[in-house]
Amino acid sequence: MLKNYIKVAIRMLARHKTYSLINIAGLAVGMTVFILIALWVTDELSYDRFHDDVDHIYRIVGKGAYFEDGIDGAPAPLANAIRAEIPDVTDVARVMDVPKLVISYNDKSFYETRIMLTEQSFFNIFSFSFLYGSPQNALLNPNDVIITQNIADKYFGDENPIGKNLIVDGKYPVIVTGVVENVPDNSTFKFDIIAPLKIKGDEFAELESHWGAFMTSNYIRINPEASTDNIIRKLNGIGEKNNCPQFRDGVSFDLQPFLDVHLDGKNDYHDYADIGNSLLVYSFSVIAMFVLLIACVNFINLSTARSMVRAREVGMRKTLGAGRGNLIRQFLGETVFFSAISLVFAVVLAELSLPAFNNLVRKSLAMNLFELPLILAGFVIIAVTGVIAGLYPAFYLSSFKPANVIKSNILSVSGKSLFRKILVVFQFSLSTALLIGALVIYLQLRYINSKDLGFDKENVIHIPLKENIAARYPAVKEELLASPYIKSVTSQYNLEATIDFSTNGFVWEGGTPNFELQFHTSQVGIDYFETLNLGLVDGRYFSEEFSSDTSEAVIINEEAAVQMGLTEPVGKRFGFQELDATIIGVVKNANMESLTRAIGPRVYYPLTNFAGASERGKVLIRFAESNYGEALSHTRSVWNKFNKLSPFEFELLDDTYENLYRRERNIGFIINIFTILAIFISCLGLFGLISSVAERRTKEVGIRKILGGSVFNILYIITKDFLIPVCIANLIAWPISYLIMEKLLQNYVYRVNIHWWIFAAATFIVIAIASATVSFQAAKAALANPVNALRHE
Amino acid sequence: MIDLKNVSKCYTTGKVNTYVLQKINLEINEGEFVTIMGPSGAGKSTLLNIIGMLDEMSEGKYHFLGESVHKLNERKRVDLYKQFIGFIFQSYHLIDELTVYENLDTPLIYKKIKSSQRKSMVCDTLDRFQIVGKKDLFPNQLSGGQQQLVGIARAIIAEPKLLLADEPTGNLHSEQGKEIMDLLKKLNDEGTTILQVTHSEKNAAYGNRIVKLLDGWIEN
Repeated sequence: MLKNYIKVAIRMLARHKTYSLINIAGLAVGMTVFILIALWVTDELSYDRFHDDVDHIYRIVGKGAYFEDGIDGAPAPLANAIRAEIPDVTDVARVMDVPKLVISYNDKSFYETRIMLTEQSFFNIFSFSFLYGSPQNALLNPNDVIITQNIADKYFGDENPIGKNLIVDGKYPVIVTGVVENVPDNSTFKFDIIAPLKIKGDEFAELESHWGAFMTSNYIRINPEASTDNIIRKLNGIGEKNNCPQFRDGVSFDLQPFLDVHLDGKNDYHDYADIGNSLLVYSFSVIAMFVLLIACVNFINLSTARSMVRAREVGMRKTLGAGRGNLIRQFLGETVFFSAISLVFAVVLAELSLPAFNNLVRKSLAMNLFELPLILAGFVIIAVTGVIAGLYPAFYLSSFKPANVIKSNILSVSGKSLFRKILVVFQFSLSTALLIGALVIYLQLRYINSKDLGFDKENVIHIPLKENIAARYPAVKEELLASPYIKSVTSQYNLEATIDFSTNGFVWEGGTPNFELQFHTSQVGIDYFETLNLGLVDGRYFSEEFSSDTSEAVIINEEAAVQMGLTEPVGKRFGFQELDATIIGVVKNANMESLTRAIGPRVYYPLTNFAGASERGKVLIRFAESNYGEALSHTRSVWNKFNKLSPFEFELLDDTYENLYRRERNIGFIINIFTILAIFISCLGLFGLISSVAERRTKEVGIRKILGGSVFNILYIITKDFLIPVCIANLIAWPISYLIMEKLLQNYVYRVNIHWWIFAAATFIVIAIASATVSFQAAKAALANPVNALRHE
Repeated sequence: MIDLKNVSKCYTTGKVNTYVLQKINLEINEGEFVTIMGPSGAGKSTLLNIIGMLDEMSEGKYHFLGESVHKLNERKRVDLYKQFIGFIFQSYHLIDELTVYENLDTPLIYKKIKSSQRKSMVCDTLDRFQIVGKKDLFPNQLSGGQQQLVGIARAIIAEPKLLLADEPTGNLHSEQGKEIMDLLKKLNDEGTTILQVTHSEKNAAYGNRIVKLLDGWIEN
């Protein structure tokens, strides 16, 4: 019996090639999207599960007040207090990052970015297996480091790395005391080198006495029986007792399960942390399922629309003794068969597009075709798709009464056209909603790229304040300015686009006592505002002519002046801890950070300690607009003249800002692809439908023509049945996509308006594509010679 | 064998009931060769379909081999006709996607006959109808007469007690038509009860009884 069904299925497929092609192509494309997204989602959800007993690992996070989404961080002294006061916490480890460093061994030097600072207990909490050395003895001395297998190979090749010295930034030697296996791809921690916190020396010692800086990430392992509520209460008790300043503003500690960290980073932007986005995981899963569903709808629509082709077979089989069950099994079997073929194509397509997809999502996903879970998943996809696509047609087709369909040659089976139209509405609602989404994302990205940030980021490059560039900054600056192609040079402690600092505890003349204001802080060199063309509102910029500018002057932005409640801020005293300075100028507001954030009060300090700025510090260089190459090669030669160790590198400031939105751009790109595929599959279905209808209505068209119907009139009659559902679909898509996009854009403080014309444009595009699809077949029917059509009867 | 009592069939369109068959009383005994005749629209095919259990009657009683068909549910009815009835159609109605061999095999599959037994039954039938050479051809590769031959072969392969033929020669030219009618006659002689619908007096002459239908009534 099965053999019989398969034979019929194969022969149906071979005989009705267009129809089969449309079904298989649609399903295959839908399944490809589904497979790729499923691989990605499974990977995202598999993060960090390789750690032993991972359910009892938590991260301490701050919440409340200005930490709206929570913050990854806690004061450094908290850990020792926990060790002393909360026995239910079996281990606590603090983690910090360091920016890119130059690491050398003999004559090999590389920049390393994934460097993590932590303490021995880290290895009690997390399961990273040691190839050399032991977790118990890790990081005990301030200059011990642990490296991964990759780093060991890169620097030491076949040599035994244990006991070897690596040189950091050309100066500080560290000793390799352990090698761990390479970090798995699905680990939130993505480090290459681990150094002890104590490597920071005095800087860390000072942090350890400071309850106001949420500078360390804290991970804990708790007793399996312990209650997290209790621990949280005790943590907050510790915070209160030590007068943590943020607590006064309403901040408190909270625990976050470690497994949630990957998809809910809580402002964790460390280079060693691989943070995903749960919203993305959910929305992509939903979209992938919808694309597959759109393909299933094609199947349902085409099978029912073409039912007259099968009606006679159904009637005949029933006459020969087939029960309804036999027929349902047969038709379901056929869809499952179709879906199996589609899956084969989909696997090939997915395999082919995997490299590009990996590139896009920055992963190295792979399909292990011969692994049991994937084979099982394949069967599940085939079965589920087959059943979703085939169930309705199977029940519908098998319901035909033989007496009705075999009576004569005339096969007038009235297709359930209302149901089909509803399905078309469903398909095109989704497609149009996706298209509107894609348009809005595109416009938002364009807006971000072209928005005036309040300063000029074009024609500026930055190079790291490394090695002798920091040590001999004045000489470097002079040499750089010697080129006619370099207009100005300045320096900065950190690029706000990459990392931004903010703190509170400021006092100023004319301020209300106990009024706390959180300031963004920037340490900038002389000529900073001139280099970036950041306009002055009042007072003056930092200048070498005033010796007091090196320690007793600050500049604030307009927003700060407003929030401080000062109308004449210039000349007012401004203090922070031991700093006692004067406000010498007010500059315009500028979007120094990502446009997801509003401009806040900002204070600019003069950068004087260049050696201390070597970690994140940058030299900003404005090129003349012409002769970019000359300027760059001059910069390179200056670098090479001063630096012996660190390889030259630079970045355009423009790119630094663009990189802020790289994820958004990738999402935009993926959504575009989804949209194109969804529209493609929907139109494929529409094409199939109109073909079968044109075929079925050949006789009607012939009669209409004989009665004097014009080609245009006939075109109208055939296409209107399809374009009306597409129009209704658009009406449904508008409010849905408006709500979703409105919610998505709320992320951005600076955002485009969702104009009415975006909807109009999407609708126009969809209707145009649908019309083009429909009119080809309709025109063919309308232009055919009526005599031929009628002779067939 | 067949006993129809006051059987009516009507279609309802809107508020109007249209009777296709009215109060039909008909008895057919085993071994008979009965012909139903009448003008177009007289209800011949409907009557045939009701007897063949492909269509339901609106009123009346139908006993087939002692079973009360009007009381059976669909599954039981299928089981009944699957076992005892074979159909032949004017337009052959072979399954286009199946070869001659597979077309013959299909009713046996639905009767859940074992594969080895099916094979010998199909081969015997191919032999008997002298179409062994055509067993791997598809219906559209055959002439009309050959297709109808296959249609009859398929109808009788499971050795039904009753063969229903709806204008079996309607699409054939006279030479082929005669061959088919001779074949039916032979089957009848071998014991199969046959009920045919036809317009042709010549074909009716093969049978032993004629039932005339007019506007849904049996003419006496």
